[in-house]
Formats: sequence, C-alpha cells, structure tokens
Amino acid sequence: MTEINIAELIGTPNAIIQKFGLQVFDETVALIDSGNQVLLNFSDLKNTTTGFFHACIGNLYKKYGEDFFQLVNVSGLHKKEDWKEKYDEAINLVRNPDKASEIDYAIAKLFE
Amino acid sequence: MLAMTLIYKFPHEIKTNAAGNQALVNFYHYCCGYTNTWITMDWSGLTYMDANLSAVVLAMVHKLKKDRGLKFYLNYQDLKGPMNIFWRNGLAHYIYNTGKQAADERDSTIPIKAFKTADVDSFANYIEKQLLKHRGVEDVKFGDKEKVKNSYFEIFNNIEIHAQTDMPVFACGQLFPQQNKLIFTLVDLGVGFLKKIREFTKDTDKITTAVDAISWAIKGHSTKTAAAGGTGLKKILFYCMKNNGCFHIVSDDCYWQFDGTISNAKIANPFVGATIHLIFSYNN
Repeated sequence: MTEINIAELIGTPNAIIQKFGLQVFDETVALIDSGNQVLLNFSDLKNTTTGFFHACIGNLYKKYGEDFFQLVNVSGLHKKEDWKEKYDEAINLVRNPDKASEIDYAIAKLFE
Repeated sequence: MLAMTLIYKFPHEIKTNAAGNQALVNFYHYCCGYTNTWITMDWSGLTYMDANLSAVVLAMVHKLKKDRGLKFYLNYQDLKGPMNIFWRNGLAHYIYNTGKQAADERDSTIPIKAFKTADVDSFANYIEKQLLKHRGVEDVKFGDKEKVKNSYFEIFNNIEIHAQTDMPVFACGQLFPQQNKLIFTLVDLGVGFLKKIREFTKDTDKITTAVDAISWAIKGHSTKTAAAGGTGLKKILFYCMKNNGCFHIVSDDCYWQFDGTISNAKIANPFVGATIHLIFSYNN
C-alpha cells in the first residue's frame, strides 16, 4: 500500500479549495493505475471543505465505483468531527445524486 | 491643497442590508461616470457604517482605481467617534494614503484584508487568528465554532471555483457585542452567480434572473464540472437556520437574504461579482 500524505502533496494543511482535491485525485489515480493500493493520510491537515472532499473522494468513487473501498484506504479522518461526514457525503452524492437529505427538505420548506 | 471638484456625499448611516448595499452601489455608479480624476468621498454626514462593509467599500475603490484610473480623497477629520474604526482597520489608508497608519493599541479591530484566491494559507490564518481568535470573539460561544469557521472556507472555495477572476477577494469582520453577533463579509470581483448558472441551465431549468440563480445555488445545485458539489452553500444556510444565523448573498441585481425567512430586493445599477455576508449569533 502506498501512502499519500495529503498535506505534503498539496503543500499546505489547509485543504480548502477544489483544486487540491483534484490534485489528490490525480495522484491517487496515477498510483492505482500503476498497480498500487493507496492510503490517503489526512492526519496532517488542519482544515478541509466539502469541495475538497467532492473533488478527491467523490471523484475517486465515481471513477472506481465500489472497487474504491478496496483500492483506497483513509487514515486521520477522526481528527475532526465532521471529516468523516464530508467523506461519506462525497460518496453518497455520487451514489445517489437525486436523493434528498434532511437539509434539502428543510431548505425546500423555506422556499414554499 | 488639492483641487477636488468631484465630491460624493455618503448618507447618514450604512448597515448590512439591502438599503446599505444600495447606498454603496450608488457611490460606485457615480464614480463610473469618470476616469482619471480625483473624487472626494465625503463622509462628513456619515455617522455610522457597519465596519464589515469595509470589504465592499475597498472592493469598489480597488476596481475604480484599477479600471478607471480614479484617485480618492478622504478627510480623516471625518473619522470621529464610531467612524474612527475605519482608520484603525486600515480602510482609510487604502482609500487615501496619508503616510500614517493607525496604531490599534486597543487591539479591538478586525483588520480589512485582501487575498488572491490561491492564498489559502493567508486566508486560513486570517480566519483562525485575526477573526476567530480576536479579542472579544475568542471567548464567545457559537453553536458550533468549527462549522462557523468552515462556512468561511466553503465560501472561499466557491469563489476560487466560480468567480473567474484574478482580482483579489476582500474580507472584513465586525463583532457586535450588544447584539451577540459576528458579521463577516467577503467580496469578489468576478462574474457573479447569474452568468454561469444561466449558461449551465439553458437547456434544463432555464434560469434567467439573479434571484432564481441564487435560489438555485442555495438549494444545492452546482455548475461545477470537475467534481460533484453544491453542498457548501446549503450547509451554511442550514447552520444559520438551526443557530439563529443570517446569510446574505448579493449578486447581479439581487440582494438575497435569509434572516429567519427568505427575502430579496432588487438592486439598481448593481456592482460586479458577489458579496457574501455571514451573520452568526453567539452566547456569552
């Protein structure tokens, strides 16, 4: 298994823009295409956004489907309370793009 | 003494709302009638302005200087009482540089700051150290301080993806201790919401107005093609709904706001780009 330390790869502990997520995606795909399993290490990050997670995790799931879970492991998500939530959301948005969540229902009510 | 023949008189009071936004837009629109000249920003009658609106003023002044070669004069004698904050937070210096900068001995002011969209560390540092760790802000109890912080990062990410501009992004915050709220304002000089959303939806939802574009975005739709998305803005709105917060989006000719309910107002002669005001409440 080949580890990608995300903070080292993107050069900052602040993974707050989409392009960093795309950078992680590209690097991960290159390693997988070379026959590696990848461990994405989040532990040296300080801040993340949903945009970052959609760009790396969401795109990886979109590319590999359920094989994603065999090919990509993660560590360090426990560092912040909402990182696992963002990780799950990035995958679920690709799996079920039309599935409404509690947030969607609450916001829809505002517009009634 | 400089000979100034163009004078724009600001109104008595400017707050973070549609009327306040229109007052600033009126100033910008006035200046767009001139090039390569001096304009005096007459603040003699302006007794109060929300300090977070420094970001909007600076964005306008920056664009007018760059695009129209304008220069601005500000009489520092007008920076008395509550208006003194605009000397201490750096806005007055950017408008008209006298060579002297205020010393903020009380360390009571959140400074105004400009960022390139690539300056993620600079922005993160500003949010973590100069905004959320500021004296007066550090000890307040938000519903969820991490979510408050993440909201600012989500907006910055959206600007980086959507604004389509190399111009800086302008930020400023203001604590209102008597109302138990923190307002943070972020202004970009990009293309605004409508242009991209209209193009993206021309064969589907056919969005053609700014209010519909903002509503479309806030409901979680996205024009992103490089990745799925659209969840950032709606999560911010949801946090505001649950924690007595407010969310204002100004883009094209629409001042959209959630202050418990959704409303919007039309802007005459709108400014460029998008302005976001995030208003979070806290407990002591």
